Amino acid sequence: MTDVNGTSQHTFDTVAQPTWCPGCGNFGIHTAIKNAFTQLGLVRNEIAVVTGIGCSGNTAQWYNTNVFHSLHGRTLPVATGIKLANHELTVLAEGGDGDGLGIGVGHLVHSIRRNLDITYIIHDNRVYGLTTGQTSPTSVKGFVTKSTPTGVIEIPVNPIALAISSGATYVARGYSGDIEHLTKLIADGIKHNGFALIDATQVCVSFNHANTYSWWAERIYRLEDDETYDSRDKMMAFERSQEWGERIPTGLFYREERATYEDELPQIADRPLVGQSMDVDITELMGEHV
Amino acid sequence: MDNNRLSWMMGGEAGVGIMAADMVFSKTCTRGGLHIFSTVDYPSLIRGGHNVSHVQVDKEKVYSHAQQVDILVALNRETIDLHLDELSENAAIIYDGDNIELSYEDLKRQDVTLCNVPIGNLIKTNSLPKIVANTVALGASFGLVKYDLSILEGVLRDTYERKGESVVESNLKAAKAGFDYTAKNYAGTFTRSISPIHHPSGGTVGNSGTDDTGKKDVTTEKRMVITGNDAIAMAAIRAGLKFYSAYPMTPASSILHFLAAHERRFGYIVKQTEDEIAAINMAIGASYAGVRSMTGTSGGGFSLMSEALGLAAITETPLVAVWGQRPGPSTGLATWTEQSDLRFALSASQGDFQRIVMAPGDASECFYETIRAFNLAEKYQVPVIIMTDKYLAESHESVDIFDTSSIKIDRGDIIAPTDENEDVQNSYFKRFALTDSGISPRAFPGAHAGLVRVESSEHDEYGDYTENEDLRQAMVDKRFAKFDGVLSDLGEDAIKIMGEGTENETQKNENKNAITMISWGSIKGPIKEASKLLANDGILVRHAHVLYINPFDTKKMESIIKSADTTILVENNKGAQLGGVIKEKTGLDVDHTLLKYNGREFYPEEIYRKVKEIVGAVEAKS
Ligand SMILES: Cc1ncc(C[n+]2csc(CCOP(=O)(O)OP(=O)(O)O)c2C)c(N)n1
Repeated sequence: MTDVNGTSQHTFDTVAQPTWCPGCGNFGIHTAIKNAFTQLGLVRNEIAVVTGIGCSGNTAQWYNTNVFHSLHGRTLPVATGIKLANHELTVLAEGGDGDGLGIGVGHLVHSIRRNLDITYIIHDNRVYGLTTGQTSPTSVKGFVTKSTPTGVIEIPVNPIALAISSGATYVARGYSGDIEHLTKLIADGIKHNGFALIDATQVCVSFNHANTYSWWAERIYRLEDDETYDSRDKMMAFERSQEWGERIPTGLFYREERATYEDELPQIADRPLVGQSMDVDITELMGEHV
Repeated sequence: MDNNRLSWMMGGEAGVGIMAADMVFSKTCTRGGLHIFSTVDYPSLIRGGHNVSHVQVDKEKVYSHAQQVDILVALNRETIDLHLDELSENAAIIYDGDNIELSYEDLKRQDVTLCNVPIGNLIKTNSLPKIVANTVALGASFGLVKYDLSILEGVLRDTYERKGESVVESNLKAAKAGFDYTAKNYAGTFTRSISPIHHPSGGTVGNSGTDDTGKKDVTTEKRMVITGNDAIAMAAIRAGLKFYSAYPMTPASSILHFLAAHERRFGYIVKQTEDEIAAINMAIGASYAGVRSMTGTSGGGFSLMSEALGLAAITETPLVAVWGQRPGPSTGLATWTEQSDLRFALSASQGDFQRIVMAPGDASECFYETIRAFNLAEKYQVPVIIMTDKYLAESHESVDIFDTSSIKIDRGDIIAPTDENEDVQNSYFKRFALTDSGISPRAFPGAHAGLVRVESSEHDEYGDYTENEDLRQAMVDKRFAKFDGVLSDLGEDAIKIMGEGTENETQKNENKNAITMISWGSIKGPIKEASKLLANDGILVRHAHVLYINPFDTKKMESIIKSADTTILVENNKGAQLGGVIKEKTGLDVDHTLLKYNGREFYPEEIYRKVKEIVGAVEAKS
């Protein structure tokens, strides 16, 4: 099951097959991520994928890379620790909307402002999948689930607006039904030197009967197709992030260049922490306390 | 009167420099070859409220604070009201009579020297800034005990150097003004004195050597003045720490400060995180990626860390976590001390898994056991919890420079990278190989030894999800089996016994193990001091200091209790938590318990009195 000999180091399929429901949007997102790895010519052992807990988090098993299947909501702190210890690794984190915008939303805001060179993908199915269909932070007001039989009272979190206002340097929305487009957004996000957030909207065929394939197909358009749109304009990006309803924008909302967290640490300018000597002399340090 | 022994206290409002004075006083004594132990008590406020520094000075090693005060420096009236009862016979009070009215009628005792030092006036006549009042009082203290002013001046210079020459100058002037005033007016009447055993400029007093290196001290025995937290931080650096992540919380914060101050110098990364959940998960991520990492917090923060403790356990990722206890539940007493988190540490997080729980008792143990903590964490791939408390974490102790020459770094079984073979590099590494010892060799992502896959769910040998019943059982067994080696690695250190073999033959036969005290963590110091007091009365005590609470050395504890006539358990909590562990493991009860949970550490005198009471009762019966 786990022997991957005989395949190229640039392919990322495992022998094991995903166990998602037939038609699940996770297939599209998972495929797009693997495609992006391949397109960028990445090597398996130089990638670390960190996933959360949820149907989306189970994806860890189906990459033949280094993987860390972490806790619900804690993908970003784990990914941060990995990146700071060895910034030569390509670090990609992914999890559900519950994982990243519910239980883990605190980490998301701080990871964004930190701007580590990590790519973060939200599997945004607007419902809790693995726990069999409760409301999620991105469920719309009025959404009826097992835990909200009379409809959700709150309004949903807007991950794009949240990211822009938190100081994100790369913010995009993709759609699991448009793998080619999503692949490009993810590949560009990985190439981006800084924290890249990709809100990957997806269907959940089992528990979200509102946002179906046809529902998405009728609404989404690509920002690239709008010639007036400038993804370097933060105000424009914020304004466009509010668009939701008849038309839903996908593509790159916002991008800026800013030094990454790692860039600002002279300790790792020459080599990552993992490559550094552990033989430390503290004689002088002790002398300072006499 | 015991020369070269002194209990000195300075109290005042928060913000007047009590903590700075504590350090200057301690270093001034230590540089003269004396030993110190100092505590600083403060409320959870930045200004206002009452701060106290309390320093014990002795020519021999001093292990704890004490109840009695020989010199009370009162920078406000409250200090006198609060600490009057603690004054020893013939004590002195240093105060500014222009601000504080004080008379013998007030005190209702005549033995005390009322040492009225016009601090405010001395500041005015020397045109000094008001802020140096604490330094005038320091000078006055040393003048009163006839100490060497030049040592104080050296410490002040080093302390204020980075604030500029004018700050140094005004502190030197302030110290001299205070020193001269008491030396002239009170030193004759006050009978206590302390004097340097050797001079920091080299050689012993009376046979003074010369300082040929210029500024640096060349004492024969150099001693540091450090806290338990300082020792832990130094040890972590020496152990090759590369990543420390934490969220501020008393009494763990000073580890964060210490490590942050030196991160670029020693080449590691310190991250203040958004919360404790992030702190522990980042440390786990860094450790998985191949570096030594650590986190630190108090009980409240550990409540948030609990889930991830299990993540470290199931992914077999080495982790060192420092847990500075303070009184709970909830916010409890934020800046005070207690040992009430032991049961929580032993069982935090869901599921059956092993973790090492260890509690050093003093600064030296903090240092050497932290080094060991890193080695154990990596060798056994388990979480290691180092438990301290506010008293140990923040009290200053004079300790000899640590011997780092024999320190070994043991990273356990790590597979060397294979650069040539692409197939190996890109196939799954058997991270959780089922071995006889239960320990599976580690590899790191990107290190070209294979793909490292870890999983918070139960997993197979390659780290992939499984619900298979046999594999599940094998993995649980493996995680327990590997732990079996820890206790034999620790040997006699798991429970340390003190006070054995020091008595002469007759006493040994008569008194053998008559009284055995059992404790864990920071109570080690007060018990050592209490033992000195008891020895003066001819009572010899044996002391079992439980350094490692998990794994627990059941056999040794059994033999300790069975060989003792009387056992006294001493704990800084309400529930006798270690007592519960002892009962669970050995089935045995201790005879007496001495518990304290008012947020304050035991005084040696309290322990002394309890033992005397027990001995008295035993003698009355027989
Ligand atoms: C601390 C914690 N709380 C709750 C859970 C249970 N849980 C598992 S997945 C999940 C939510 C799943 O929703 P989402 O994150 O949106 O991912 P999806 O399954 O939809 O991909 C929950 C609540 C958990 N594993 N850990």
